[in-house]
Amino acid sequence: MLNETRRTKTVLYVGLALFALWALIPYIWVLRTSLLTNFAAISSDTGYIPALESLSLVGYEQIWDRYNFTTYFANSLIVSIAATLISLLFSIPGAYAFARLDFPGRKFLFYTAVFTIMFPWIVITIPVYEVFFFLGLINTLDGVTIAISIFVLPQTIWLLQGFFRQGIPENIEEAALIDGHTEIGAFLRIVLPLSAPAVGAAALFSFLTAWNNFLWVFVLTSDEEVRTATVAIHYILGSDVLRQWNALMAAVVLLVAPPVIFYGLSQRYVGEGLGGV
Amino acid sequence: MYEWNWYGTVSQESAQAIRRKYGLEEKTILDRMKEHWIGYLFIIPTFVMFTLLFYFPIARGVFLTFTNTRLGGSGEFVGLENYTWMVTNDLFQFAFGWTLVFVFGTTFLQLAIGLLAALLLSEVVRGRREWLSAIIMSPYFSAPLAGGVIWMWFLNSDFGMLPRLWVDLFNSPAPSFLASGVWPYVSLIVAQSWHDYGYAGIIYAAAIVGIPREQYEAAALAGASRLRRFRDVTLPHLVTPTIIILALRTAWNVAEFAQPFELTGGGPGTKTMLLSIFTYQTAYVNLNFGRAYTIGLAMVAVSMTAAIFYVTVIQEEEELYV
Amino acid sequence: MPPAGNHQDGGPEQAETAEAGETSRRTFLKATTAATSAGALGALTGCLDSLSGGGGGGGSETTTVSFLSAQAAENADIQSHFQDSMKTFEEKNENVKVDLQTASYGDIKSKLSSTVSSGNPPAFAESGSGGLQYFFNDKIPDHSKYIEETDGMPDDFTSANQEAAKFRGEYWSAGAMRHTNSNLGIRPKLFSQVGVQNPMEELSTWSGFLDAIQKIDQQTDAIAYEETGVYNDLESYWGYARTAYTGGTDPWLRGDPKDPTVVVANENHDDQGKTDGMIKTCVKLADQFSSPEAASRGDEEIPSLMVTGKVASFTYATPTANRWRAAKDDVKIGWNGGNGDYMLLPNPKVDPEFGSNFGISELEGVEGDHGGHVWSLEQQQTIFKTDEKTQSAAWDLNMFLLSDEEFVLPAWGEYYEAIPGLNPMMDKVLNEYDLAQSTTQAFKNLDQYGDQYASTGAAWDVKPTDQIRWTDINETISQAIAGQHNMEETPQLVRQRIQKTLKNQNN
Repeated sequence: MLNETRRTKTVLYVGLALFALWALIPYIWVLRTSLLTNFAAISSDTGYIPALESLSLVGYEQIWDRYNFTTYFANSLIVSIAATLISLLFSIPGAYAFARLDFPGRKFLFYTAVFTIMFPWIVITIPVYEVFFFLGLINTLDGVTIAISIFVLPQTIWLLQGFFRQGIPENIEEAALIDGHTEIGAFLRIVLPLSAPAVGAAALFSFLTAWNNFLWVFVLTSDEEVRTATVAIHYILGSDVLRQWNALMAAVVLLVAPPVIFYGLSQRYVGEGLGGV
Repeated sequence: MYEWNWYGTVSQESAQAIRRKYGLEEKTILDRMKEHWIGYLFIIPTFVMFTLLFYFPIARGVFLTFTNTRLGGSGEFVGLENYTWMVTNDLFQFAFGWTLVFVFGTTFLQLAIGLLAALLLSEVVRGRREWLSAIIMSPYFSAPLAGGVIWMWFLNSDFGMLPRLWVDLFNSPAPSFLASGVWPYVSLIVAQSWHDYGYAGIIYAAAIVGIPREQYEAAALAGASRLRRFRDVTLPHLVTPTIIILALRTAWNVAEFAQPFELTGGGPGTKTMLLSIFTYQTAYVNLNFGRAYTIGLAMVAVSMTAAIFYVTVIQEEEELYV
Repeated sequence: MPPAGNHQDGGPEQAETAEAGETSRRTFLKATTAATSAGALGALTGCLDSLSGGGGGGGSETTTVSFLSAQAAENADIQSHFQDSMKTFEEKNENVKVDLQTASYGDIKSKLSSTVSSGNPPAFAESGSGGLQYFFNDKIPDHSKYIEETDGMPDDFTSANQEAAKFRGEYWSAGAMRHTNSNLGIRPKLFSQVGVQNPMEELSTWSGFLDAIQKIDQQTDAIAYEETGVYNDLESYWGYARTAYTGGTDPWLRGDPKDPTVVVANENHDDQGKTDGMIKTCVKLADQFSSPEAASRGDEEIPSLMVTGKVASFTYATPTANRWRAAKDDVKIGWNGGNGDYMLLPNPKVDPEFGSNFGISELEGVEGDHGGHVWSLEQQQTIFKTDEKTQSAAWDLNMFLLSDEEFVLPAWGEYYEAIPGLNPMMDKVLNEYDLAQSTTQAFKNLDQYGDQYASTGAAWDVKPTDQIRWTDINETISQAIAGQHNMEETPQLVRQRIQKTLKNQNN
């Protein structure tokens, strides 16, 4: 940070390069396989870097042509964006109340909310289905959106309340209180701007959790019109395609690429806070 | 209420100290309700949704553990039969122990790798930092299911990259990374750490960015070494994120199903059976929901115990820095 | 990410003293708070209205049959064939609409469990063995009524279907639309390399097969025999467990379904040696000839291993030739003068010398016949209890899937080679299509060795069939292959587990 010497700089970049390698290497093998013909994908004659003539987009073509991916990706996008917005609308006031407002029952509510994070979802799938069926939300995008936005809430609330608490150094809060602000004023003027990175992180986590969510979409829908890409690809992975490694890996690439690209792009547009990550 | 030694009481106490200073102490519950009524307004939407999607389903799930519910039925009350079945079951005992090892290993590695990533990235100038972090944190953004497939393929004895590299580099047959000896355990822990260190990394990075530069500058002017600056300036700001990450990642590593299921499915045989896979198998292979939910509660117990432990221990630690 | 930006600069509390811009922000905050609480509650109440319209098969004229299928998601070809066929069905049945829903075989049980438990079952589903549980819990009607109304049923059912659909005298299901069976699959190139010239002859007994794989093991780098030993693919063992017997005798459970005799490790039973001997054979074969991954090997990995010459043989070979073309477009199926990539044979039969040849004393002097497992229980389709009209429309859909040539022939002859669920259809598929050697041989095995090809567990008629098959038998053997316990104690362990399960769940 300060007084950088050339040596520490070298150490830094070597460290980062190793990190990048560790992060990317498993992906690379998947990407390579997805770009080969079916037999080249398993043949030991194919090199680490395959010869040009064994490269092919046939795996992608098979996955894309035969399944209705335009719909799946559109659904994924709608659900993820809506769920991110809704969960932030719930969690920002909620987390603030937990972190700062000293109302009776706060702790009890907080601990029960935190407890929900610990609960493995697999144990509540059937009762949750019952609730959504009762509400008439089975097989609808509304239902999926509501489910996902609520199921990411515990983590966003838990994340945000921690930062809201720490967002104010003692002396700043003191100053705010002396100025005659109420706690809510202090929150909006001081805590929230300082917590912008955390809000950004919470939004990012919500979006990605929504995108990658399998269980609730799987449990709450069965029509192809409301299926998301993650569930569609899960089905492909569980089907006969398992015997065709290039197509299988193409499906994996299609599943993984959008959130990774989204994260990469969000770095530029989300602003100061998250840009710092 | 204050016998709970959860994180957060510190800042609350400091708020109290402030109030005391300005003569605002000694409030009744009614006063607090009046003054902070807005808190309820903020909480109600969340509370309603939680009741519907968490509290009610959880209560039902817990109720089911006292019945012999099987697929499609409602079952009869059987008292503690599922619990006695569970604690006397060999596979459960094994899965419980291995889950503890798995969770400890992955949580620790995720925390350590994530912190290292965040620290390294914080040293890079803006502009370059963005795309570097997009690469380094990317594993976290692949669906856990995909993570399982990615590693299964990477480690595959016949077509995978690592065994092939091993043979080419060492000129000796590669071990079977998902089957022989301790390898499947190592592979599961490494793959899980690979997938989720980004969570720790991003939270730590957000915390480090939030640290005022002046504090570093002051420390540097005072002649503090790099290591000292890390200890005195950075570390205190990482206590809260650490609690958050530890508690959440522990709970999620306990509940993690998709990736280990894709990777080994508890095999070979039942050598790598985790509680989450065991729950799934009991529910959807043996069709016994009462028992499956009971195993689910054992997972909850692990997560809860860990969370309380972290909060208590780190809470005391924190006094050192504040 | 609007919230971060919107709140950033300025507090609504300041609005009292500030300009209009602040006020609007304050309104924003209020609105969001109100919208979230009202939105949540409003959504809940608003949606109650829509409930009234969401009943069973509902309308005045059209009956909608929701159909949950896993077969329709197996591969892209069969998926589009299903979609087209549902339209054909609708044309042939006025006033019936099919709502086709899909889930993969791995997920269909969990999919069904939530829908059925909350009173929203599909009208018709490929519920597999889980359907039996729904039948016990009164979610599925007795299908006898529908079966009796047809011309040729239940006699037209394949024997695997007859066994699987019937439980203690009642029909809990409507049969499976297709079967596959387990057989011996070999790589001709490797077997001819060690001197095999007539595989039908030389590999017809376990001793002959053992001789060949011993040579392959010594003379080549290939895995001579690969067990698909992950517990949920150990049907390979179910198949050849039968080859120590003749006449379709069940190796595991016999007698009164309410209190069955467990043959496994039963010291008072004459057949103990045959059953225990094949369990030990399974563990020993894997131990001597399979890769270290055997205990976690799934069948779907085998085609790519075999076409690349890494595996010489396995016993999970099914009729579906498409799976092999998926791994290699120009795969050579059949012996091809010893130059083929893949060939399907009957599972070897136990011969009197095999016991001493392979060191399994229980099998000395035992002589069995070719046989295998037939998948049938796994694909049983059931009608769920709804209204009479929907149930009978669902039955019509079932008959369409079983007997309409427009659906049946291309489905099992072209898109997903398999054995149709009705006997009369088998010849039609064989006549209509020019099938690969693996498909015709798999059909032939079933035909020729009759009773010896059966659906494991279907004949037991016990309540916890699934747990006994997958966990008590398969998982225990899989553990043995993984080295978690030794071969000698495996039959006894299987027995203990089966008995415990029967005691707890079969009343």
